[in-house]
Amino acid sequence: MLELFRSMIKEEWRMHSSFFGNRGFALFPVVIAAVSLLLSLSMILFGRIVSQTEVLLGLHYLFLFMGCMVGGFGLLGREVMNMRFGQLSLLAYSSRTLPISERLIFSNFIVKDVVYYFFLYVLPFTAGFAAGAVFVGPHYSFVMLLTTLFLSFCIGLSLVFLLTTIYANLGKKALLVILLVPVVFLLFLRGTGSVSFYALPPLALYLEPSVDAFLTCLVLILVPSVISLIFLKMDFPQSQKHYPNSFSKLADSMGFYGYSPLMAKDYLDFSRSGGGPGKLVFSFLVPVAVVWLFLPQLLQLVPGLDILVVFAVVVGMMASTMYNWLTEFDMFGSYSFLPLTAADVMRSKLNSYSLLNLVPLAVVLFAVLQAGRLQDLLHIVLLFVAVSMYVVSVTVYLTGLNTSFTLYSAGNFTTYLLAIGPVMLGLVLLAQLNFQLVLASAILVPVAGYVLRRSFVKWNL
Amino acid sequence: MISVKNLSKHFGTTKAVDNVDLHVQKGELFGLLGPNGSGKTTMIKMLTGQIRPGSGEISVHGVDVLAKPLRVKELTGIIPEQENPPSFLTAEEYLHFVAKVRKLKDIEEQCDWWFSYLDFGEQKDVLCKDLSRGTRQKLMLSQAFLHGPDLVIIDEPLINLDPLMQRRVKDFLKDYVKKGGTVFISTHILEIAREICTGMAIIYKGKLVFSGRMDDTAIGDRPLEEFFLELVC
Repeated sequence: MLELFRSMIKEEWRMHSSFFGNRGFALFPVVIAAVSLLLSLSMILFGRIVSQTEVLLGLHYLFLFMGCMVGGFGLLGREVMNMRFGQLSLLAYSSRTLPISERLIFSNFIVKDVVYYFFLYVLPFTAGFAAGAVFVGPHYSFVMLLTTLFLSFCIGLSLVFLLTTIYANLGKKALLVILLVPVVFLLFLRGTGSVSFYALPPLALYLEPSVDAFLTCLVLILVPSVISLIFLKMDFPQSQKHYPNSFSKLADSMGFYGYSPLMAKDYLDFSRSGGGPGKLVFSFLVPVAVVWLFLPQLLQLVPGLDILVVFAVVVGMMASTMYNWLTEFDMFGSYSFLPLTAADVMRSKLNSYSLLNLVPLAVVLFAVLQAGRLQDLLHIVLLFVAVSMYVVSVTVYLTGLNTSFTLYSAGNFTTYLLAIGPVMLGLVLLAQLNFQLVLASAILVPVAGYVLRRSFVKWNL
Repeated sequence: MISVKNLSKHFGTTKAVDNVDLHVQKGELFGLLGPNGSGKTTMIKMLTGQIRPGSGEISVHGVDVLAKPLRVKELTGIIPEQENPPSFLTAEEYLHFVAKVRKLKDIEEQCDWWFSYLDFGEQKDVLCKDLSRGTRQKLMLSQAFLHGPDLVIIDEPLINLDPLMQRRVKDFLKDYVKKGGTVFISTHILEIAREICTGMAIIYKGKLVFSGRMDDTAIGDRPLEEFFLELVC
């Protein structure tokens, strides 16, 4: 039991560190601590519009969501892992070849995730945040915050493990249940007023410590985990999907672009992979809508701030994550025996990226129209395009075709933040001085071009 | 067709390929033999421009691989060891994808011939990621011959195929060579080499320990296994 656990921890470490070295990955928690420290220090400003209780609310839901993400990777990340490492190479699949029960493997897998992500995220984040709070004002109990954020994370993790168990046992019928759970939860909260968001047991435990609240947390973690173990089914329903040949027509229709076969493949990979076009809605449109709703609050903090400028910058940055969608199912090894270079594949991804960017562009246009500022259309569109190009060029330079894994490197993540943060802040400040200065963002276009050219050289053989 | 001089490749302190010289003539069905981890795949990756050598010279089709790796990939059919593609394209779409990348037209008949010859037509509308290893191997074999190359380089050509398909692929390769093509395969299965190869080299711990024709006097009438073990043990 202990040996399996140790091996799983080693496997998880090596899987991550194989992409960017032991030191690069080991420093990642330090970067997380530094970011949370900065976040905490920013409360000097934001503390005027956000109360400490609201901060705690945000943090606990953030870690609940993070737990869901980590757990969800067990279900949705299978495609990525299978493609990159192959099922048989992972210990989680060793019950096929070794006399170890699936239940024992799954128990170890859960404990491994809990321990691993505690040290990777929860502990450094809490330490950084609590340290920053010492300088800013509102006091946070480090031990209590660490405990309750950890409990939030575990609840998210165990909840998603339960959902994956339901999915494994019931197949598509389970999707209805999975979709109904958050709807019912939201309806319940709505029926009892928004204050019920504070009923999240770990948050309640922090705000009003009690044995009952602590026990509730434990029940919410242990019951779904035990149910998952009892009804464990490792092999998800497998079915071969059949599709007519839609590649050729698609590639022909994209013929006006360079690399149209690769772009057509990108489109089919994107639409046929787990989540499909739903990724566009849940990973982009919903977060953008939340940002749009939240931005007016900023006016309370910085009166006279040009919301549309901030929105264009934020949407440009968020749009850059689409590059990650395009690379998550690809490795250059899949093309290395064809007459293509890594730069060719990257260029094709950027072409696909520019097509996908029509969606955020439409969002920006909609925002301009809704704000009734048609006269500023050119400035805002230019700003969005420049930011999107610049941020994606930095992403390509740092991560090549391995975006989702390579950003876990402390060095890469820090460089990414330093290359993007000051530039974005500078653009917003320039616009505050004089709106016409937004046109200065045009300089980012040739800069992005230069960074991309360097990227192609860097990632080629 | 293939000429290698003083070729070396080190990974850290491991000498994957160590000062190898090798020559393969046009029209040969040449086997690179060696135990697991002996450097066969590294050799193939260097021959096809997939990785750069540490030192040495490689010429394929008379083209300097180091200077023009893309040209070599254009002229050569390549089947890597790992049965790619891990793709959301169907088998049929994948062949069309390769055809588009290689700028080929009207490949329908060719595709149908391969689906029929290797008996995987019923799987042609299945996503590549859902195909069995054997079917992926058949797909990769098909894609390598689509552009009618003069040289095909195959890493472990029969490893995932059943005996019936192994027979068909062996027959195809022999016929392909008879028509003037050249095939370079790597394998650790000696029977395959004995049955179909006209020339061979044996690599062990990165060093070339034998290179010659199948009827070389050094081998004589002995079983190939005996000769092989004598060299590597």
